[in-house]
Amino acid sequence: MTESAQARLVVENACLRYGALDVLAGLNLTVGSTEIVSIVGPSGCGKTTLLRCVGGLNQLNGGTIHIDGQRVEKPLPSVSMVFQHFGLFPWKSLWSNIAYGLKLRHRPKDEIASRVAEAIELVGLKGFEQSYPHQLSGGMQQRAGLARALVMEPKLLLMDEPFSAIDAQTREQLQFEMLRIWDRRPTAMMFVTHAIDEAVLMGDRVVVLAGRPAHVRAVREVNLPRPRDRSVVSSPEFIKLREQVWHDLFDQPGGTQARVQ
Amino acid sequence: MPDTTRSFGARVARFRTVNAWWIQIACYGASMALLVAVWEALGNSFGVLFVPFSTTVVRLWELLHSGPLLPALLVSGKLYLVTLTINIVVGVGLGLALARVSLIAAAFERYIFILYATPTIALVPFISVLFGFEFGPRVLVAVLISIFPILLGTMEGARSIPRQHLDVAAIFGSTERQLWRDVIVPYVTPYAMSGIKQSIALSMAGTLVAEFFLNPDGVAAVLLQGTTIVDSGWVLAVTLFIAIIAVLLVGIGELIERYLVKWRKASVG
Repeated sequence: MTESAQARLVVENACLRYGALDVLAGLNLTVGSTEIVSIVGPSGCGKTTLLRCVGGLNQLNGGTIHIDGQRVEKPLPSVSMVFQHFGLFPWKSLWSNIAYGLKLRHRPKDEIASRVAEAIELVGLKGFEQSYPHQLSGGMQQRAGLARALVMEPKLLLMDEPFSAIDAQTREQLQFEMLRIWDRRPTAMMFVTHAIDEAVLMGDRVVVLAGRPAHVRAVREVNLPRPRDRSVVSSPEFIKLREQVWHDLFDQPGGTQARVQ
Repeated sequence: MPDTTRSFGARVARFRTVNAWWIQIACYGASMALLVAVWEALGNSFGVLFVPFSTTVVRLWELLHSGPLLPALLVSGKLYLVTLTINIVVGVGLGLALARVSLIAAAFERYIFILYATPTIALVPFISVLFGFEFGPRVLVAVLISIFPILLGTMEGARSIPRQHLDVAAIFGSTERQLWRDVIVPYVTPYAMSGIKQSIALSMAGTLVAEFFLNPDGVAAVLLQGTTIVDSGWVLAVTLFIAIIAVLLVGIGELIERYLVKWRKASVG
């Protein structure tokens, strides 16, 4: 469904090995310019490693990654990332954490002020600008992590299991808020998760990885309408897709069930 | 509220409990009163070899007022300040270098632990043969005694920077300089500060040892003078004086630490 001319991210034949350990073996993936691609796979299958390679944090041994035609060899300014454990600097106030990327790029003070204020508004953290991370709940910290990434207005947003370290109720809340934010500012997103529901709910496509070495076992198109809200979760299509992805993950080609975790 | 005082969680939480400031001060005051009372009682039964607290305070007043203590303090204070400054500058600098530049660590790290394990007193004869008895070699002895908490604390801190902090810096395009400013320095500060706090006290010990063993001078010489004439009031007065200064200096160090790492103070309630 994604025209290659429109593809924001193109991963071609990605190979990565640590010593004798093959992590990625010839993996291919594209993400369109306003597409959300969910990546699911068992723990340790290499999905986070793939994300880190796209972010320029790890280097491939073979194959290429291009973002808007530019080869990824180090972190690119058009890419932002949201981390599993938030990755806020505990010595910076919430405001300074969110302003971090803009300050690194020496943006003018008033531009930083207005963009940070907008991002804080967007993720619902108004009034907490001067708080330090340890004073906030996990959910609020990840809102800040999200704001820090969004304020850069990235062309590609990398989500590394962003809601997995958050309690279940807050997680559901954040998933729908993430969808709402995306509806307002559609952007390309690579969403790594180990939760099947989340993968189907967020994604335009769900890519099921199996490892090791990591390879694409299945790709599922998610044709659920957008904007998506709570009603989607109980729709027959959603339930059917969730089942399909479940079987993609757990049914071994030989018929036995894969061990997960 | 449910009664959880006997639960494991409650017992763990007690480690983190911060009592009101006036309770802490009251405990401090009570322990001090007890110490003074025991000292007074012991002094009254031992006589001249261990004079009571009250006699010691009177003696201290005499030594300060018309005796040699204040001029000696100036001499020792200079050695102390130079030692502490060198400890901080060299300790933090070398600690960061050892942690961030693996070749420097490969070349020098073992020697640091050898020096740490060697009693500096054992080196004093060689230091005096090589460098003499003056100010320079005294600083060297004092530094060798008191630099390690800062050096090792800083090294430990700089080595334990979580990968995630470095990832965040990389993703947002930090330069090396910005990485030091935004991540390394703030992350290492509490570790360095904890070492500096220890070194504030240890530098006093280092100063006195250096003065004792390299041609007695300063406060250590005053202390030795009291020992020579077997005046226990004199010796105890000087010791009390050193203790008071140590408590004051460590207190200042704690205030500075609290100011620098206020972000770390977890909200406990």
